[in-house]
Amino acid sequence: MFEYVPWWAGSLGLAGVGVGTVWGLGRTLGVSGSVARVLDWRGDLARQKAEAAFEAMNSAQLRAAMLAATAAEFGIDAVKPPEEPEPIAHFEVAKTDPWTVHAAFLAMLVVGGLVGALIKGQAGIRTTYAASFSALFPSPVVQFMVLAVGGFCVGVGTRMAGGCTSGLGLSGCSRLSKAGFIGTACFLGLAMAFTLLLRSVLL
Amino acid sequence: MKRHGTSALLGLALGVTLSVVGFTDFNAVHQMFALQDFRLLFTFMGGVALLVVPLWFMKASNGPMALTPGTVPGSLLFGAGWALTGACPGVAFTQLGEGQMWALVSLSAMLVGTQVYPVLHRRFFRWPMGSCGV
Repeated sequence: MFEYVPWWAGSLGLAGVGVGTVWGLGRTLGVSGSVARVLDWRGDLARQKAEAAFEAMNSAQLRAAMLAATAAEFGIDAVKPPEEPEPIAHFEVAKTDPWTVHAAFLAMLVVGGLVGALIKGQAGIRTTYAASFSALFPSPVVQFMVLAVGGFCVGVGTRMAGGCTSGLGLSGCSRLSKAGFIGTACFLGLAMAFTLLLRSVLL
Repeated sequence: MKRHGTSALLGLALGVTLSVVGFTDFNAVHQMFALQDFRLLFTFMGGVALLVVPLWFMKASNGPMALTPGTVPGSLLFGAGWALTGACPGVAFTQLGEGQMWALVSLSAMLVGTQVYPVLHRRFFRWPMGSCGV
């Protein structure tokens, strides 16, 4: 039987990923946000296309307007094209990562689970439920329904709240964000109250 | 491509961490919620505590994290779902990688919920949809 690593080793891992995300990617960690970005890959492609078109149009327009103004002020000779065309300056638009960067993150979360299972010596397909889950919900139909309804609540809830354990919890609380504290208190508090209620009713 | 590599490495590190500390184990998460074992709660709070100083120094910000009218009801809904499935979003992916097949159900349902929410939001709510972390 595998002994889980001590709690503080897990804290170090979580903090390492949190710092690494800011250091390596220039943004804070947020899993549910990454999920939403990947699911919206079509919108992401459309945005990239629109941004590129906007930038191209904008600098060309800017150039044409400046040329026209120069010609009007100093005569047409002043705007003869230079031998070597200068690079066109463009506005720095705050860039977000394309959806594929988030997809790489989520895919490796799955691989990380496989590596973790290998470390724990538990690699392999498991179809049995955890003991405390089966104790609460013995019927297979109910088990399926609980996971489906629960998963749906996680999806809707994290999008409504704008974050999950990583975004609101880890990245939010550590930056002393009000939304982070309130969100974390709500999801942890409700998960505890709901679990205690379920146990008192069903066990 | 460099950002893809960095992102992939961070995903791997998070997946392994969640797995070896027990966040992917329904029993362990359930014991935390049932106030029987605070180990994973310490892991989480320890992670937050360790991040305070470095994130402050790095001035990590994607703009202010928005407190919206959705923060409280959304988090409550998420808490209920987490208590039922034992899986927060990252954990659902990692459980699948560990070979826990029933994670397919909670993960699929979570993806459906993530897709459905913007539709509900546009239909019923008026506040801007904030998102942290991206």
